[in-house]
Amino acid sequence: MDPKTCTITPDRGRCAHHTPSFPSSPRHTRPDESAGEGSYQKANAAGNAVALGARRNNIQKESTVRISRNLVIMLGALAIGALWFEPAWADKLSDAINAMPQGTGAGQIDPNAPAGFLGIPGAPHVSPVLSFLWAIWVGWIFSTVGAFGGVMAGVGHMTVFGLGGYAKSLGKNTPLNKIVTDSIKASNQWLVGTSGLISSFNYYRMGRLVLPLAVALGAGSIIGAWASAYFTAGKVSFSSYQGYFGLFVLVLGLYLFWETSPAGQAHKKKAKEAAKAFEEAVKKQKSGEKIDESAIGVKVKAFTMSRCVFTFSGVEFSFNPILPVVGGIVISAIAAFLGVGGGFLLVPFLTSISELPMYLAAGTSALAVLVSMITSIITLVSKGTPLDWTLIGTELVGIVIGSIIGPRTSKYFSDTLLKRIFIVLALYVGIDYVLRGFFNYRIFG
Amino acid sequence: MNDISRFLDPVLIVPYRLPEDALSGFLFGTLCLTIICLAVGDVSLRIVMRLNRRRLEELHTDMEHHHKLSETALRMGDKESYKAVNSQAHDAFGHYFSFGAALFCVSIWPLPFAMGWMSDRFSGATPILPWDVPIIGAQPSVTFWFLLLYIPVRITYAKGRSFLARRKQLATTAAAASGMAGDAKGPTDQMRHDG
Repeated sequence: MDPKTCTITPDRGRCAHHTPSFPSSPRHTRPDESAGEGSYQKANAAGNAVALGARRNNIQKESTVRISRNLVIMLGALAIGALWFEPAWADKLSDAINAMPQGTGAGQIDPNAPAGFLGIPGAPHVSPVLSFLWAIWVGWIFSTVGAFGGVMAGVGHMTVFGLGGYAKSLGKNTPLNKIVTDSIKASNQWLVGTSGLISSFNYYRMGRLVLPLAVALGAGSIIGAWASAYFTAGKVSFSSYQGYFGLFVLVLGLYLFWETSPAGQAHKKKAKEAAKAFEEAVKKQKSGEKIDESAIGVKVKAFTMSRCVFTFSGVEFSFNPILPVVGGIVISAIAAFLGVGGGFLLVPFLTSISELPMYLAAGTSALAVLVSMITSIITLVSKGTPLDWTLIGTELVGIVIGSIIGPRTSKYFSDTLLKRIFIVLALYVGIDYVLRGFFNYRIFG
Repeated sequence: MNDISRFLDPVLIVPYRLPEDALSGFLFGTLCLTIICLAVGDVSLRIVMRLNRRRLEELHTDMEHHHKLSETALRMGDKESYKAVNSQAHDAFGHYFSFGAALFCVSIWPLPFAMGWMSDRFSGATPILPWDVPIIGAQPSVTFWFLLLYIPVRITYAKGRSFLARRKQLATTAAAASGMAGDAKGPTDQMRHDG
């Protein structure tokens, strides 16, 4: 074995000096590269010891990955099984159209009018150019601000494309109003929920899931998303939906406002300075610190109905399993009802109940978002909610373009400026939607 | 049929007409459609990732760096430093996750157009199952058939790619190791040379 190259473990094809913490980007540490047979043999022995340790670690990680993979397969099977429960939706939409009074007045359907959104006669025809341009904006938000892309997608569907106004014109308690509302919600979720999918697959491959926490959160998310879709699909008028959506956006805007305020900035600045100070201290520390490879990775020590204990990097964490179930129900119910991602609510929730390291919180919350999305979209579709595929497709293309442009413009905008732009939008949209939705009052027009 | 579906129709309908049997034709055609969607989505994703390579690396490095630092703080038992560094890691993750959302949209952008075309073409004319399943009936919609084939095709493709990548890495390293073993003079080789 040449000390200048890494040994390959035959089973995984991976370098034995691979640092287990970051399987996606291995950092290679090489044995002593000095020439000569003595150092060659010492390096050989050291390399074998490290290889054995790494192999043990790999086996442990493989079993974690296998368990996580089985969990995802089970959930995938559940999703596919639920997809099986999908009747033809055209019947429900045509029934709702036929139930509307016919005519050319407000709240009436003119059967001779050209088909628009969802093929409804007289419905607005969403301009592909407008939907494409708005989706570029959504993609830009995804790739620069780092959150709230789903909220912007929702604003597009409701206000920019005129679908909200059309839904309202159909009358508050009509089935068609509710079908259009549900379609708008499902369209929002299509764009946002896909993010959970790719992240979950990445994280289960990396073995970065705390299984009991993921199961508890996943179970809560399934219950919350199913219940929200089951109890509200076809029952919520657009005005109510708009009001609640506006309330949510308003709360977000106020939270962001606090974040950019001196108090919020001071809190972040303190954390940043503390992190920087620690980093400097670690750099100054002499290298050669012995790392116990076996301590790295998630190990569940104990699990009862009231307490789950696990270690990560040798440090013990614990949480009450009831909390993630309840939290999962509440967060995914809100997310499913409004048609937003929910991921940005889950991560702070996870860290507050268990102070989880980022990689664990990220993987676990990504899975919960995925589960919630699949469940709510499946439930909406199984209840017969139609989707405008061309609109969704055009929006996806716009998001692609926006995500290419975003990184190239990020250097011209600071994080604070981006958030302030969003705050202005959020406050305007939030106040406007709450007034329109709950009080039928328009600020402008 | 809308304009986009009308534009795609002459090409996409071809595989559906190849088999003699209607059911085989539908399944084969849908399978080809899923492969086309996968290929177009994958090429788009690679282009976008290449264009944004630097940004992705920055985000990933930032996230990894803070995460590794938080692990160090954990090992040293410094809870306050761990919390501070972990919050930085979470901020970095937020940006990375969101950008990842946009990238996943890139890989699936052909899907809605494909499903829209299928809806226009086959709505109400999808295969009828030999049994009547409660709740879903005997005739699942085009979305069901498309996703039923797309998901396994995508998983198989991903597994195939990582298998080929591992084999290539093994072959490269084995070639490098055998090349260097030929150059290296271990003790036995040295004695044989002297003798």
